[in-house]
Amino acid sequence: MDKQIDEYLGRLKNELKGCDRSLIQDALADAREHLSTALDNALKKAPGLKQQEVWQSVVDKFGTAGEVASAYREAEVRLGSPLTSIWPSRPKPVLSRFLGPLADARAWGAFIYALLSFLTGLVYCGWAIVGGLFSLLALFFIFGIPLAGLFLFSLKGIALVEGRVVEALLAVRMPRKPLFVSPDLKWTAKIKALFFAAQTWKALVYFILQFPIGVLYLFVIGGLFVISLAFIASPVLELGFHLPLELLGAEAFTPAWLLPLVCLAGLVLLPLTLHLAKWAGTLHGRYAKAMLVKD
Amino acid sequence: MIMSVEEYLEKLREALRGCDPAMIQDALADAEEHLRNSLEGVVSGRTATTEADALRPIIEKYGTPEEVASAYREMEIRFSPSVAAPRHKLQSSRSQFFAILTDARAWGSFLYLLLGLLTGCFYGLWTLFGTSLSVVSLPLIIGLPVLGVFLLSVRAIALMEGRIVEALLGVRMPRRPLFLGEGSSWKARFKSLVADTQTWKSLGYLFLQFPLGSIYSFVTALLFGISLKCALYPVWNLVFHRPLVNLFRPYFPPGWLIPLISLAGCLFLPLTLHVAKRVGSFHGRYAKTLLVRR
Repeated sequence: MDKQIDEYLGRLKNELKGCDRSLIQDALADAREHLSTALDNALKKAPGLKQQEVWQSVVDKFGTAGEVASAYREAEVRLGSPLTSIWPSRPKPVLSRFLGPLADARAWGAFIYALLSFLTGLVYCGWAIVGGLFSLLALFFIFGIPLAGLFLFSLKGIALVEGRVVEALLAVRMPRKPLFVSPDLKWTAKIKALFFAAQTWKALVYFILQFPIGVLYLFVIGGLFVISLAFIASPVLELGFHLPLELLGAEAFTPAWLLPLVCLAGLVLLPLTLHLAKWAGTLHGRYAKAMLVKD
Repeated sequence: MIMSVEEYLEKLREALRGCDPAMIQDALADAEEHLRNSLEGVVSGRTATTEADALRPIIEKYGTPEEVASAYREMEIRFSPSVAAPRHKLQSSRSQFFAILTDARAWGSFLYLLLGLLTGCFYGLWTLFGTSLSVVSLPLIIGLPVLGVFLLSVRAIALMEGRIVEALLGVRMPRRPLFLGEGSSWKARFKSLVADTQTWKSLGYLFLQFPLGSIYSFVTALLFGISLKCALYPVWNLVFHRPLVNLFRPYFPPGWLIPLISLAGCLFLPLTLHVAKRVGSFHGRYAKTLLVRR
């Protein structure tokens, strides 16, 4: 039975060649879950039937590998990448391209991601280091192996959540479902599979690196954003409220002739910051995909 | 025979009746964008055609409203938000209480509520800054463009917040921006932006996220912190000799109480997650009413 499912999945993978890796991972997980539960149910209902017949009826219902693959391809085209329109956009004048990120949900998403990754990075990195050390220590005791297994299992769950956040904010297609693990497998076998999957260790590295990366994002992108807002508001702050920009010491008021220029500089810096955030977000999306999605 | 884009959209809306409003909004935005853009291409190529004549080949290619509606319906079944997947196993009430620990949706809500402070502060800061900048600059010549760019940014941020809500709370939200007359003049686009109640509802949502998100964050972090501290109190007390609470003076509970405190902490954690899930699903519904076109 398992051999037939594996064969089917191999064919499906072949049919989906060239598609997005996250899509392939989801499609395979869906198919494996569906086929193995359907087979189990059918065999339980009618134990007398031949396995070959049962398999045939299950596949008839689910569709051949080619049919399933084309359904996934079609839906993916229509669903498109979220946050942007699915139709190609026309060339735009320079000014609206420069201001574009202000009206672009993807740029704001990348910006929010840059701010959040400090916090999420702190949690991920803390969990990875504390949990990792704790399970290493525990390996000397009898309860060590289940504990280490639990830790590796949690990494998988966190990777899925981080993937959802990355897809929501950076609009990169990430897995939507956990990899299917057959419920009949013994827990020792499950832990072994987790331990030998390169995915697990790549996710661990991703989580540990996420904290320094998050700090960098927060300081550069968050800092530029705050500076540009302060520049824009500086005429009102200095003339209206006598609050100087405290970049050059507490009492450094800007000369009056410079104020409009500072304000203008802020207006230019704001879209630039969002351009930078969008670019960094694109890079980070590719990096997250390389680290968190199965090859 | 469909005479105009408006009629097509009306029929499509009719055909999608009963579906999720976020999905309807996406389907209508896709269709409107495609039809209007292709129509503009045809009309600017040849001048002497009516809209209905020009529309016929475009609709033939894109599909009738009924066909498009059934394609969207089919897609939605396969691709509903993953964390919303229903649990099909029936369990006893006791194991259901603890099963929340493995419930992706509960953890998603938990994360959403925790992040509320950060996103809420940003939304609040941006809406306050943008509104005051627009008000200050309205008498100047740059006033209207500043207001327009700010309102566009509000729409974009609202769309993005919708994606966060869908990812973490499992509520279907719009995936694509609303169509805003790409080809028409600046003035017409500004007008449709300002006249659209969706823009102002989004602005209100983002502004309210500031207090709401802060409350979410503080309460969730407090509950989670209490349960963690109680659960780990034996270690905290026996190894580090720290008090349970330090409100006015340090309080050390008697020794027999310590295991009970730990047990209470262990029970409090699933309870916190239950609360987070409940609040998350409430917030999902609230976000849907404010961020999705009716």
